[in-house]
Amino acid sequence: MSNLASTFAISSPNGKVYIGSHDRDYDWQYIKLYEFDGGINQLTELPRVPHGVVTPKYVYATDQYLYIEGGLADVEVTDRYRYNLQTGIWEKLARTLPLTGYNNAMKPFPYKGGLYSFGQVNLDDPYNSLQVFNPISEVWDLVKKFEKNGSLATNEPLLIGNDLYLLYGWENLKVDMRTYEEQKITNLGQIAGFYLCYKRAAFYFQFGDTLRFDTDLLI
Amino acid sequence: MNNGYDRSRHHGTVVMTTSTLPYMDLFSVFKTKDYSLNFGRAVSMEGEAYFIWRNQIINLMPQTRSLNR
Repeated sequence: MSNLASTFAISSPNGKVYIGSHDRDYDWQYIKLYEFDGGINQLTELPRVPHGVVTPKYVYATDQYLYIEGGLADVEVTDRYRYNLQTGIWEKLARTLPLTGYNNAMKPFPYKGGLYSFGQVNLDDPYNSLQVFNPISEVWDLVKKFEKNGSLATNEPLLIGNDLYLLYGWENLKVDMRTYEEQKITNLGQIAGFYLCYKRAAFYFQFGDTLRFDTDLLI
Repeated sequence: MNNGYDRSRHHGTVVMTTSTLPYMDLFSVFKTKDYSLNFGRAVSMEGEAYFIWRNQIINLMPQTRSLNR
């Protein structure tokens, strides 16, 4: 394996990290799934994801389940699965995702006890949407569609307090999660690499360098 | 609801257990001029941060100093 987290790496409310790996060099036809417990520094391989998707549309976790939904294999897949973190059993959800024609992954993130997702839902509609997960019906509901298209440059949205930072490259957005009002941020310069939000600060990684940006300077 | 793909009640196979993870200071982790660092993934939780790169899980410890550009 050349890259342990080649497909995804997400944190979970249970304090563990779930990692997806796909490596064509090894001719895997599916994602290998791992659970990392930082409390005991243990990496465990979990039962494989049932479908053959190698680039999922959604990956997120709740207290009970790890969800892996839709995405691309040889063709687009709309099946949704959840992995019961207590029993270790994969279950197929009755409702599927709509066909999106697009392989850009949505970016889920937690906020005030809820689970939100940001990104391009559908190829025919390139504008970015904010969605909220309904844990009862287990569907993603639209919160707001923004006048911004393109895909994020970040591994995950940055949430600092009530402010959601969506970093694309040249033109970035700040969204107030209380009102969903958006504000353009243009003075950050061109960005690449990826970001890590840690203890209400944001760190910016780029090839050969690591910076922490002060959000007070972004406006 | 169960689709029968995997009815195993085992949570899986332990791949790695270590007493300590490789540790890197957040500000020095990317000093290495290695383009493959851009393919790593950072994951953060309350009080913890990890950088998963190649086959390694690296324990990140951000410092408090600010390096604004």
